[in-house]
Amino acid sequence: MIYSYHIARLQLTRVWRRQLYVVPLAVGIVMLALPAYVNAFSMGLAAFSLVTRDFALGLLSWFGLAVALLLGSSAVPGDVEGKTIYPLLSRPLGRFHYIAGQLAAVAFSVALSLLFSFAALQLGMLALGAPLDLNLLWAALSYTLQSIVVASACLCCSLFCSPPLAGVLGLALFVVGGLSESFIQFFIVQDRGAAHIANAVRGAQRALPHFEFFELKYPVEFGFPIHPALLGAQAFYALGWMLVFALAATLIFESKDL
Amino acid sequence: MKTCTLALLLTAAVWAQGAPGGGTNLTRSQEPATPFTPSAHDTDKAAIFGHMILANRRQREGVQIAAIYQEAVKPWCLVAALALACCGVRWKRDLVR
Repeated sequence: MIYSYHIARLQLTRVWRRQLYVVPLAVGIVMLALPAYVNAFSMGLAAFSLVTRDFALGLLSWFGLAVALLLGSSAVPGDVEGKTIYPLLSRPLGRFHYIAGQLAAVAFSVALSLLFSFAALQLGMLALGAPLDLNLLWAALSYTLQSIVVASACLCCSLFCSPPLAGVLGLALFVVGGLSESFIQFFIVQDRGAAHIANAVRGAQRALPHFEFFELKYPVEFGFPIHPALLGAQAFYALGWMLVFALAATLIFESKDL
Repeated sequence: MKTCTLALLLTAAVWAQGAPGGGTNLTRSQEPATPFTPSAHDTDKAAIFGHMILANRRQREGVQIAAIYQEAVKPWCLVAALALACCGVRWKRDLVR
């Protein structure tokens, strides 16, 4: 495992040198200013809370996805293109350890970006006198898990296709795996009458991760109760899919001629 | 340069989402005098959306955690199968050596 740790450290150094920390910083500034911006419309306390949470959680979700697509699809190809992978693989290092190290670095970067944005949002809300909202933290952690699953899928795809295509495949996985049964039933079947598309989506969903499990936007927004054991279940589910993609990536990487 | 552009685009997207009227300059004086009346089709859409929210709420209040653990069986079975495949590949490679 010490090899994976060193690979993760190398990858994090590369992320730092690419100055990718500028993106979470910019989003953090937006998050910090968001409550004050919503407050400027003087909609009342309930509407302020609802609108701020809606904007912030929507932004967190898409920001996490963007970071996951960017980092997940460029981690291994970056090493191959920069030829830094050869001195690494000339050592007695298993391919799984290499993939695990890369995945750990990407997961750490995604988690740090999302939690930094959440902290900025919470600071902006506290500055306006709003109480500390633990449900928001739950939603941020759920989005972190969701983004890590997408990033591991992108990392796996980047081993057999180009980084942009890997990003597109990750996005497709997120869109298809995130469609709720209610959406399929009410919009695709009843509103559009496209039963064959609905069946195709349901068929694909049987083999894909269900991102609906990580969606806590509406429960948090409308104050629905969230079970304390939910995060553990989500983590167990996300870890399963992360390992699936890591092992699939290892299998592909073993047969790849570098 | 690329990161700055991305940050600017994100900021613009947030601004557009938060701006009154979805980012347009529609002021109160420019609003139509007659109130908006939804057509039959719009009412159907509203009803569908209401059903969707209710269905989501019922789903989240009830068996969410059990459903997640039940669904987690699938990836963990895949993990076991892929781990076996990895061991098989390694064993075959060592055998060839």
